[in-house]
Amino acid sequence: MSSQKKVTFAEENEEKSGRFKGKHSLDSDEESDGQGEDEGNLLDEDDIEGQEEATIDHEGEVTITPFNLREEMEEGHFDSAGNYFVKKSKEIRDEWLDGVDWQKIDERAGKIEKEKDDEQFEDAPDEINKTTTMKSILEILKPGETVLKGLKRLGGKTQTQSSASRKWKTKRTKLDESAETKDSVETTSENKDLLLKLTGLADDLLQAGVFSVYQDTYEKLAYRVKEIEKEKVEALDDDALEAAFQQGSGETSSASVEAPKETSVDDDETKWYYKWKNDDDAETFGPFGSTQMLDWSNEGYFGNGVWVRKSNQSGDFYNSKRIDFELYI
Amino acid sequence: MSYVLQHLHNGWQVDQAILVEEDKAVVIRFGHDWDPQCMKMDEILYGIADKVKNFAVFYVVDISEVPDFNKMYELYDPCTVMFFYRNKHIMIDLGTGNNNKINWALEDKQEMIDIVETVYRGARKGRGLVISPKDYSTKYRY
Repeated sequence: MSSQKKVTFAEENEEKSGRFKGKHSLDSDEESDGQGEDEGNLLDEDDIEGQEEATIDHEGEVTITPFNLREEMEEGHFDSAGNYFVKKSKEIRDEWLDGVDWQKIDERAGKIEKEKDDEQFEDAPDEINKTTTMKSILEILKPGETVLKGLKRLGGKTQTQSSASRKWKTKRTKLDESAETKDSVETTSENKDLLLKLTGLADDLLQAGVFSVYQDTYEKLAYRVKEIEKEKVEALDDDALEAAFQQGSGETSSASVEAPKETSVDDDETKWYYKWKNDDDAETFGPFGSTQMLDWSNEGYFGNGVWVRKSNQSGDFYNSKRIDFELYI
Repeated sequence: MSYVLQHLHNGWQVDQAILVEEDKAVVIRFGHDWDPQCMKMDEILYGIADKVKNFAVFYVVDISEVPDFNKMYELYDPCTVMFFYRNKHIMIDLGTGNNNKINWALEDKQEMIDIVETVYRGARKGRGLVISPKDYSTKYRY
């Protein structure tokens, strides 16, 4: 049985390729030039489910298109797979087309399509790569560190560990990092690996168009990762919000004194100053990002509330209890 | 840019104003133009309209000319400011106990900007109730 099937399949193939080689016209790669042959392939109108008769043509100025395929059937036909072909019979035929070497054009078209496919293939993982790269960078960096500082930390240590006395010194002075410096040999090679990895990752991001990568802090990268992931979910909506607000805050800040330098520091997130007492001479801290402020207030770090003010505004300080930092992220 | 607070003259206009705005908060002051409290509030609104024009629009409605909403929104105060976003009334916790509206005249422009911004941000995030940055309970106790 199976062998018989194979034979028929081969025959079919032969037939097809023969047709394509022989009869080339403008639409040679479509089936419409062989309309006669496709007769058996045509979609019968009775096979289309859910068609409805036309009721009214117009309602006021609005044209009502009936829910059926009559009109389309008049201008072309469907094959049994549901593909639609417009009738080509009325088309004008150009003389020069007869002299075209279709074999060559087909080859080139194939190539171009392949290239296109490749491009698409590259484009999609690019975004994913960005986030994964950022995430791996975050694993290496410490909070508050820029990529540059991270490189310095990893690279610098290998130098200091070149001499034994120095190693001893660093051990003494950097007690907080003692855990890392204990078995120095291991960490040295580990750091070296990390250093190489970090350099590579940063370079990848740079290639991907994130030009500020070396200056970006841990928090900023984390924020970006969050942002990209969020964007995937509510892409359009959020963008519009941020855009409107960047404009909005720019507008409002034009009146305040310290605005220009703040708005340029971080264009993505509102920043906050806070102080523990609502006195004029109380020490102010900041600016901090909304994410940071939200974390702190969620952790109860602010206790009974601190007094906060947006960095781009010169208005009064508000009690942090009444501020929903989540709105500003 | 000069910016005048736009008057709405009938119920349909009010409805449309609230309904049509796709991505801005709609702030409506209900009251009378001749009312001193409204004058004060209008002055504030007028002063900030340009600054918040990217995320809020202001309208003023004369409650004698358009009495349609007086009952529904309980507009019995000389001056009432209410917030809407995409045809939805946004409540705001002002600390006064009445979360539906601001029914007094604010003194400070920045406070109003902050309130409008909070309303807008909250509404964008799907909140129906936002908390005003400032607590007005001590000043206006009912």
